[in-house]
Amino acid sequence: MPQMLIDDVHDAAAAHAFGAEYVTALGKIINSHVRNEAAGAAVFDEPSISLAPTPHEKWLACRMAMEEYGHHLKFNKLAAQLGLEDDQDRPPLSVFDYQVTSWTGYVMTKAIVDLAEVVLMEDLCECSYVPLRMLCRSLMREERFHVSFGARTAARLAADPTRRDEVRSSAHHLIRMTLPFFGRSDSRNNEIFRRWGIKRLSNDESRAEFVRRTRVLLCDELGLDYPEVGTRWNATTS
Amino acid sequence: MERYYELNAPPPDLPAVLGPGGDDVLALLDGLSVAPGRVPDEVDGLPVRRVGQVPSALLDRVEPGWLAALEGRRARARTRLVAAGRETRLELAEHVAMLVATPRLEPAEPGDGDALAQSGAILWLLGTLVAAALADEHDDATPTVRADRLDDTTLTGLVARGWWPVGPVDGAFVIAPLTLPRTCHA
Repeated sequence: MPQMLIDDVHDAAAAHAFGAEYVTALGKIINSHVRNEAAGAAVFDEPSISLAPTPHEKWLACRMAMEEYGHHLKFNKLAAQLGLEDDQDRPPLSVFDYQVTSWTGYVMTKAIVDLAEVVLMEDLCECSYVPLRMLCRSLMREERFHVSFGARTAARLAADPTRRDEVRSSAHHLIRMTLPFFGRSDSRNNEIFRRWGIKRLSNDESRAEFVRRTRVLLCDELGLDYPEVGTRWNATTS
Repeated sequence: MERYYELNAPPPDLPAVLGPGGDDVLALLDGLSVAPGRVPDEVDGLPVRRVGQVPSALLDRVEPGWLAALEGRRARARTRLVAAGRETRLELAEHVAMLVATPRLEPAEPGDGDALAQSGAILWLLGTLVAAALADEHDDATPTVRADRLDDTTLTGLVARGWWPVGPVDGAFVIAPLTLPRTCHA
């Protein structure tokens, strides 16, 4: 697919100069992160602070909650700079319906849901809109730490025979819930994102990369089986 | 209400906007930028131990009962504020606290797990004390014969003087400079 945009777009004024379609497309991406970063902090991270089995893990959960909330604010600032309307009345993605009721469940959200976020952000690290590109690059260190915390702790929990089943069931459930996170296979939005150089990957390519990495986590690192899932998704809701 | 995305210091009108307890919230946030001062008199009689390092092994020895008591205070303060119709004030205070604290607690080494845990601990305590300050919440039921008898006022005083009340460990109350996460190296 040919890209209409090749040059970097350095600021909000330059973005508006390209017209409404470009700004609207950016808005969909940025507002999605505004909603989902806040939802992750509120639904997964903050409640998990009280589930942590040790003070050290409690404080790490607190730190990660703060970082996710910080990401929400940084995307929100980007939205404000572009003059986007506050879109927070829209619901976050369905993966945030997952109920974290145990420390193991929380750990798996960091290993799996945050990995999905890393896959999406890596793509945006080459975005044509420079402020979004630079923001995503600046957040990658924290997002990767969250994933490594999740994977490292999951390995320890999976080695415990009393926790192994819960690790497996949480992982399988979360992987299935996270697949729609990447959007529909036939997404018109994704076509527009790629045409404007906002994204490079199709939704299915991003989903396939998520499946590849979570398969490495489950099968190679945790010694678990992988759920039967496809890399295409064409449901009507996410 | 103004929307803040980044803050280097608390807004000057914060106490007025927050209402009762707002001055205490400001004092807590100011404590993040002062050099550690004297240990308050209120801890006289308690074996306070000042430390220059708080590794994970030490953090994990903080008395669980003290942490649970603080968590209870946080929940009760939140309940009281919601019941009083001050939930938006609490959200603003927590929001400002997070913004002011984030750059000041940034670990010197990005991947330093100890420093990240320390900054998380301070943020959690700060959030608890902010809520307690707004709700004027004091836990009179806390036992008075142990190091964990420190009340909100004493904890707030320590933070306002640049000290992080780490908590009771092995019969002493451990405190460390609030700047520790920024200076700690793995």
